[in-house]
Amino acid sequence: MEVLHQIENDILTITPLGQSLDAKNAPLYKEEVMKLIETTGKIKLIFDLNQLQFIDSSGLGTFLSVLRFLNAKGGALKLAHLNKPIQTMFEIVSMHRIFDIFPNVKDAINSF
Amino acid sequence: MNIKQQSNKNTVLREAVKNLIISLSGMTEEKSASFSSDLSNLQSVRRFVQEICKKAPGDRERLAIELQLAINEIFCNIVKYGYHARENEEIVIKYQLENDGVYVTLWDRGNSFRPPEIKSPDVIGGQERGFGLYIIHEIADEITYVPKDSESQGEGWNCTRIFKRYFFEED
Repeated sequence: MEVLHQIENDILTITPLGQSLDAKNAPLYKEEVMKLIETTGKIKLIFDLNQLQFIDSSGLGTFLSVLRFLNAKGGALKLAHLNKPIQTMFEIVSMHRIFDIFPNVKDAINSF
Repeated sequence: MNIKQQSNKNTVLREAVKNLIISLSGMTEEKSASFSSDLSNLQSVRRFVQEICKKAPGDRERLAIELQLAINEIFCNIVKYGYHARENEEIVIKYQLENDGVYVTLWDRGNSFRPPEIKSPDVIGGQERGFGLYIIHEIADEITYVPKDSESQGEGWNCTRIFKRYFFEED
């Protein structure tokens, strides 16, 4: 999956450009995200999910994996702009209790 | 008319509209589609489910979101654990719109498996995998799995069937 990224106030924001994060593309997405974390050296990360319309259990596993990696390094992962199908998925598996979720990227940046 | 009478009238009216929608919605429609056991087909599978939901009464958007999630997870499980990622095997999906909900059945010829006990995922304790079955069970109102080697099944097909009730305003 193609991703956009930008750095502001020492915070890396990654925007996945595809509409779905599922068992087919989640492994590659995780690889791209880990590569960006490594090359930029940033441990404060925001996923801007404004384009994402579907996520399955593999996609959730990727988010959890990145969250744990960053937490172990003293960093943090925040999620911004979840569309309705993504919110539903998060509620089903209680992920909204695990992740810091914000309505937009600006609020997520201000929360660090 | 007092407030209580008005409220009762509204309830009766809502029930009548709901029954009318059900009767006009093409009940007991059945269709099926066949997919190869390739995760690249997940998008097509979800599109097929979306089309099913367009024909259902009630809140179609919510039905589509939940049913797409559940069928996506069942399809993935069949590909990964039934066919062990062999991509040219067959998975048939059939749906049946009923009065109160929709049955979706997935047929496959892969290895049968004994469904494990479903537990809430331990996200705090570090679990990163294994949410699929939990998601299916959270969404489905009924779920049955009949392995191909069972007496009732036969003919070499495993059958996974879920029932999902329609969402109406008062749900």
